[in-house]
Amino acid sequence: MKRMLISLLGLLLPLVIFAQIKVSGTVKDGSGEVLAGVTVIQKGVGNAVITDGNGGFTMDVKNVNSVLQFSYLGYAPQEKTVGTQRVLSIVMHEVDSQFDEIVVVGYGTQKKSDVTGALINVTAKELTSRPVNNAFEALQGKAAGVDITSNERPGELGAIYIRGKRSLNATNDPLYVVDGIPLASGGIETLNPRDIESIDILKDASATAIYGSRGANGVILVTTKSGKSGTLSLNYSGTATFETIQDKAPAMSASDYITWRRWAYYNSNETAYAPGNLPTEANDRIIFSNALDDTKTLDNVLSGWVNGQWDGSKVINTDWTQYAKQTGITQEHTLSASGGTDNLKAYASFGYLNNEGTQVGQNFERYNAKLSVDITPKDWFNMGGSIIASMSQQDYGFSRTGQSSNSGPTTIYDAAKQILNIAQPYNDAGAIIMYPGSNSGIYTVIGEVGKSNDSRQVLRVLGSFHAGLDFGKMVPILEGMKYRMNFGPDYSNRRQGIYIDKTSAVRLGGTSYASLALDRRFSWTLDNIITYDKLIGKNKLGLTLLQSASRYNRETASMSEVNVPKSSYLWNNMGAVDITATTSSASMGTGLTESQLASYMGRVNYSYNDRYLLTLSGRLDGSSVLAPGHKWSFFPSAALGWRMEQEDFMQDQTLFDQLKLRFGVGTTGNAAVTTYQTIGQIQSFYVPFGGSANALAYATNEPYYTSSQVSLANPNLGWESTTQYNIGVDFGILKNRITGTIDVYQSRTTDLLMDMLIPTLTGYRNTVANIGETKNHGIDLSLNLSPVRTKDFSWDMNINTAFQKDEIVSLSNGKQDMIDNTWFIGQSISVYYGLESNGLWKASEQDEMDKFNANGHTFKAGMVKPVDRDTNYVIDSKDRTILGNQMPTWTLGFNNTFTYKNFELSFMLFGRFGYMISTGGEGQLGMYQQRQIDYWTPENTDAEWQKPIYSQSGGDPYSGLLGYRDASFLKLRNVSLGYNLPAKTCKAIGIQNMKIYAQAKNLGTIYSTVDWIDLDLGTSTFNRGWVIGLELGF
Amino acid sequence: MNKIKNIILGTLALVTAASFTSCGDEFLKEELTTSYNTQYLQTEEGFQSLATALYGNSRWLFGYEWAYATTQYGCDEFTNGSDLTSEPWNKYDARFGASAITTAMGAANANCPNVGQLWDQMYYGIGTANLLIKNSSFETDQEIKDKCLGEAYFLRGYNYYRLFAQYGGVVLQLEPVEGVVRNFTRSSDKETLNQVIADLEKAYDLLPETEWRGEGTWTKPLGAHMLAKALLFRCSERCDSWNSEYKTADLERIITLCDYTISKRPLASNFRDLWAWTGVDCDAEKNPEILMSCQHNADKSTVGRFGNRIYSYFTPQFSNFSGWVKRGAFDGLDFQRCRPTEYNYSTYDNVNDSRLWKSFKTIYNANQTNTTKNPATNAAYNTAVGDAAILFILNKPTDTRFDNQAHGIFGKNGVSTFVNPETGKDVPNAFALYYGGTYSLDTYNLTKTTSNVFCGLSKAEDGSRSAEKGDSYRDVIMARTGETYLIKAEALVRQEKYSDAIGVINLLRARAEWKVGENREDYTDGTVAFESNALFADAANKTYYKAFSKKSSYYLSTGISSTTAASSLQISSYMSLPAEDEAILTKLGVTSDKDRMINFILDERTRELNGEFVRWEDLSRTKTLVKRAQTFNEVAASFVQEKHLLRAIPQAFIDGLVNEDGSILTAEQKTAWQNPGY
Repeated sequence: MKRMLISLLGLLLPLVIFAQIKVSGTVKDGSGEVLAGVTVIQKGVGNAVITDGNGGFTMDVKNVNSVLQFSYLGYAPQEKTVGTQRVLSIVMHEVDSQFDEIVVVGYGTQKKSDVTGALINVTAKELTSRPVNNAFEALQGKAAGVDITSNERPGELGAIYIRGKRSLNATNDPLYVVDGIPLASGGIETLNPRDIESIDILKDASATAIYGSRGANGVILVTTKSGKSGTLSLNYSGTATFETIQDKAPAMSASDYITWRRWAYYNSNETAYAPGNLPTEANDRIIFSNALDDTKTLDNVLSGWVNGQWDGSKVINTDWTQYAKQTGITQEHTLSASGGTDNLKAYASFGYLNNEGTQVGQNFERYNAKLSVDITPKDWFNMGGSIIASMSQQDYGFSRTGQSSNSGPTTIYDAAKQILNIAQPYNDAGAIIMYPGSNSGIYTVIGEVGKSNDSRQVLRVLGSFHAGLDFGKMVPILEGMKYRMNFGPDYSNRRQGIYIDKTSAVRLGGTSYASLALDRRFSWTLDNIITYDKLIGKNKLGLTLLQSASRYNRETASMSEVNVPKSSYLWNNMGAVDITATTSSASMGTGLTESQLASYMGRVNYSYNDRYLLTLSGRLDGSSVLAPGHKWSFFPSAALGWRMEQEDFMQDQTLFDQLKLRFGVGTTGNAAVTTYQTIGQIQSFYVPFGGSANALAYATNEPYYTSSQVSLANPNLGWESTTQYNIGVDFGILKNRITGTIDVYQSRTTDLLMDMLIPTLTGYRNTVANIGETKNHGIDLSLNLSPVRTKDFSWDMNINTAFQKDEIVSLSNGKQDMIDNTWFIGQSISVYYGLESNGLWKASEQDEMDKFNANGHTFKAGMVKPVDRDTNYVIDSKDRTILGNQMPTWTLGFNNTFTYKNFELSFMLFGRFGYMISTGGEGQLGMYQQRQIDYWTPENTDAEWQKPIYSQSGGDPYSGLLGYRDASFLKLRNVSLGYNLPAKTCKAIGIQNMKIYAQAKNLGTIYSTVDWIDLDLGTSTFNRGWVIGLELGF
Repeated sequence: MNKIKNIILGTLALVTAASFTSCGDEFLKEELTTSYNTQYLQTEEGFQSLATALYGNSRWLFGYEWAYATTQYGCDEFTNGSDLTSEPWNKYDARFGASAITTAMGAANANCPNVGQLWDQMYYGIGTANLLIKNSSFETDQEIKDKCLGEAYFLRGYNYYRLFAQYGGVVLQLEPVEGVVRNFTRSSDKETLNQVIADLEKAYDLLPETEWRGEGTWTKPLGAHMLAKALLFRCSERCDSWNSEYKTADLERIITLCDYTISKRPLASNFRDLWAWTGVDCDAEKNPEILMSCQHNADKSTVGRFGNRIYSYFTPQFSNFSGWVKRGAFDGLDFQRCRPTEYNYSTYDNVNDSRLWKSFKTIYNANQTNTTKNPATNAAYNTAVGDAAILFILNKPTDTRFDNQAHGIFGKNGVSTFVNPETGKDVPNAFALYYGGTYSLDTYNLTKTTSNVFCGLSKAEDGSRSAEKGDSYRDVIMARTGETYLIKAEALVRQEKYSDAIGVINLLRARAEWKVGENREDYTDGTVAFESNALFADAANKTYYKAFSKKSSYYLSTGISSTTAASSLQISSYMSLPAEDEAILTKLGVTSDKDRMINFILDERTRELNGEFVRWEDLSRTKTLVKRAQTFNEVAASFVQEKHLLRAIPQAFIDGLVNEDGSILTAEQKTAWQNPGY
């Protein structure tokens, strides 16, 4: 049948199309390898073919003047006039210059060479160079000036800062824009990283100002994959990761712990207890006596006493973390298909992620789907849209939920680690000991996983629909003018169900608890955009006009109860209890939050002779959360660019291939106050009266009942605005073997949205007001180097580093520090403030200690020695000082890739430098678990940490001072080895391409100023593992 | 053709664009549909619900650590246990001042109360009262208006009283503040206390006699009691520099007011009736003697953020020092914040004063057993579940019965050698107040100043809690007629009518005597509510509940023979006070009749109002704080000074002030705002 049809066509065609010329040819790349899949189009006619596995093609063209266009992703497009040749030999060159990339700049795209603002482009290849669980994580270490912290709990996110912090109270989160739609809530964590084509990050205000009120913290523009005309492809990629938890701060062994506790008792009362190095059995009976664990701990300690001699090795050491850890296996699979013609393009993908935690009970599972279609039915009209959906299921695992205490461990690993190694898991009858180690605040972890559930589900659907008119195709005089409408709905539904069984250790002696919380968010953005592009001689003009509206709506509901009758009910049968009975403690609540934003924007791009570039923009934003009369604000920006390499005087030099100077200034805003700050809210609560029903009460504020106090309504609330200056240089030297970008910026944020404390005499604790000013400056540097580039071997290197420093200029009381908020004029926004330590007291300083002790202190040799700044021999609030900055001064990402033939080896280093962390110090109260440390004893006076002092609470009152540490680290994030199957082999087995690779993840820190904490995560544990991956294209 | 199409399309595009361009101010209007706003308070319904809110404000005082820190710590009755959460409030050391006491400043943990918390909370209540007074014109029912106004004036007077008692003269804000105001002036002591009295006078006039809202309603007898208490403050030592013009009339008036309250709300016949709590809203909470109480019930809707946690603050850490008593809703929570001093126990006549035995919990029975060996016999203890496992013997220094028994530190660890003579059973933890004439209850710990071993006050126990650390559903008494007697007696002392004063005190002491036929060993406290708790159904919990002893250590402590005769606590002459008081007066070195009587009344206050959250303010009022803390509180002794009669004005408040012209206060101006010495 098929053959018949072709034959028929073969008969007919010569009749219809006459004077055809048949041409054929081969397409190769610069190194002589054939290129398969290159699109060949006859210009003006539109018929297209694709090169075969040998790079060959054949097509019929109109005549000798026909022009063929060759295009291939990653290669510079070419045109060739057929002329007299009938066999063409085409050599296509890889696009190795970043300056020819097309980048997204917000409400449009631009050639990178025409861009005047500071932005960074991260490609799909870079984003997927290491396996990550979400797009957010993928950005880490890829872009100068973008600092992303890590969180290894499955389904949880770290924090992101673009060019540091500016705002004190309003958010520092950037604005996310997915396929042109700014997200009103949430970020990009629900996207499948493999669905992302590229991410562009706008950093300076001249670029972000077109997002006006929301651009203050930078803008992250995400472009997802879509179909391409002329190619059809089917791709699979998948990874499997095997990870285990690593602990940089292991607990003391049972024997070490016993010695340490003996010292703690001795140090609390030297006459009553034996010193740690001279133990006695009688003393041990006292200090290890206990009530809650059937004396199993005491018995274990006493087993170290044999014939009156102490032998610590006889004591059983129980490593409790064994009950909390597992090998976490993460698998991730994505299957995608795409293709298209000039008039119809489509992309579809399906992704699955199963991220099993390295701690028992933690798991995250996600399904992703993306479908996008773009149709151009008429040359003057196109429309399309995409739907990105994700459904995730997170088993959060052990948390503080259900525990009565507001302090304590939040992960099961930490919970296990706080149990003493001398404690025993089971009693003589084989039952689980609920309080191993006999501290009523420390529960067993055995069996906890099945007894407490915290299940979170998120369904998110992100839509992006557009329709466009090309006026030029309707009325020739309007050539260059286009209209586009974008509509972006964003729907998310979160469900959190918690069930904690009464047999769970954390609810011991209590009741089963269940709760259900629902959170439905819906927001949409509607943009109307008119663009106009015109070329008049050497003048290139681009004009963009925008009108935009968006609305945000959130509904919440929650309920909880105790005494759930059957454990299998979980939170799914909450009506089973008598909700009116007080013993059920049933409660419910619902809520609604709404806000709106309206905007107008105009932008002019002008360039002369491809040398002088100018961008001007202005945006008018109105926000519902601000007070009437203060709702609207205008955000202007201007930027200049000078492409120096185009100048005549640059033509004789050979050093620079590219050199562009940029200068920009712009103002952005931040209205990230919570809703309803301008409305005088009141709160309701119930007051009991004996013998009567509970009475409903209303008041402006009653902190006994509500922790979230309402603020005094501020009828003058307006925008927080940031004005930023940016000077940048983009360069390429030595035939673009070295390319890079340097940006220097300074910004000033005024009318800070501040939670201003006001005298409670007003009936309110605070009000949100526009007060104060901060400034921020820094340098971002990106360098791409190709030290070696030969036919078989190449070495590519990327360095991105940033320096930033923020500073408070003024606050709510003008140039007056706000000590309670630890905000100080002239200092960074986030600092540590408190007493400074001067190491430990030495026995030789007894005279000095006596002077303090006369004033009520209890200093002894081996205790922490605070700095007495006013030298009055009293340590009090007047001795506090600024200890350090919490935000890193420098960040560094360093990527290297070595390619030899079909092999590829790469590694990534990531670091932050020059900041301070507070580890809290080592309390050393002699009763809780203790990590291995170098602590003070009379025999070890040169110790890092103070001496242990047994105490219920207290101990050395200044122990926390030793916890402030300067932080800097450089981490080897991953090492990857990949192999690309040669094209010939691929062809032989009928596939387009195939890559297999293996990676090592988190091998360790190369440099760290604090050795017991992973400074990237801020915890003492981290996950290390192995990854195998496969990429397959058909 | 093409042209027409283009015109249609163009028009469509423009119309689409225009329809969205119209979204202006209407689109940006912010609407709050899920909550009332301040305008609601200007309706009758809103006005009344605002009055109800006043009661919510008063509940805060007993919500958290500040309850005992601001009223019990740093005095003579209590000192800290080995938990040091609020230690600076007891110790008055360098950490204690105008700024928040954070862990970075040496606080043991983040729960240490901040000097500004009481300040803020009192002003929130004052703000509500001011708004209510201003909005009263919206209420048309005169009767309701008067009752609500009475409540507004009462709470404003009460809160300013607390502010005055703690901080001295404060800012008098008598109208709602409009907008952000940061320019205030501090009123003098005299202005502040006179405002308290003016407000309480109005409350006394307006409040009804009936509890129209239900139990806990503020009534006229309460108004009279609080007004008398404020007037007594005006006649007290702290106001001596300016009170001469008021004294004579005030003292007369106090007696009239007290007589009114006493007549309307007589004493409970048995002291135990106030404390024998059996469950939510039980009879004990309905006793007419209770003039003011912070109401609680078991409804989740009324719990609030802080609930009622005072049940955990007076209990020794029994679960830690004994292998025999497991803690839970069935027997109490042992957070050991408030440890009675030797002074506290020594105020009682342990034989004749029933209040000692109705206020303290002396026995915990074993609710689990273990295999610990008795060091004396090297055999296992014969103590069974339900036998006394922790025993406090409240003896006197003259008691020699226990001199040769070695308990020492072992008592604390559940390995004492004490055998209960009444049962012949081993008591693994036994503690007498005195061995060989020496006070020994503070010797079981590392240091005498941080001990978790003490015989605890049981006035707040609550067995109705839903979990070990569940909130308490028990009311907290804030004022009762027992104190009215003490106010009246003190007024008489200040009139130098000492014999009359003794007469009034004798009436109160009569209630404290053992009655004929009364079983002196009987014991109960709020723990008994566990019997009607849903958790009681669980067999294991039933066993654990056996920790609760319905018997006290009365006979073991006093050594007297069993009797059902009546006892007498009557005092015949102010010249010869009970032996306990004479010993205390000797230690304090007071000799004049008036000083003796003022201090005697303070002792009587301890016996009657032990742990009822009034002590610090009484000692500050009578300027006896420094002397008594130095003499009886080992922790505070070397730090307490005259400046500690007042708390520091919160630094955060001062830092937020500006001058009239908006300028920031100078360092000198800030110092002028602060109380001397801080």
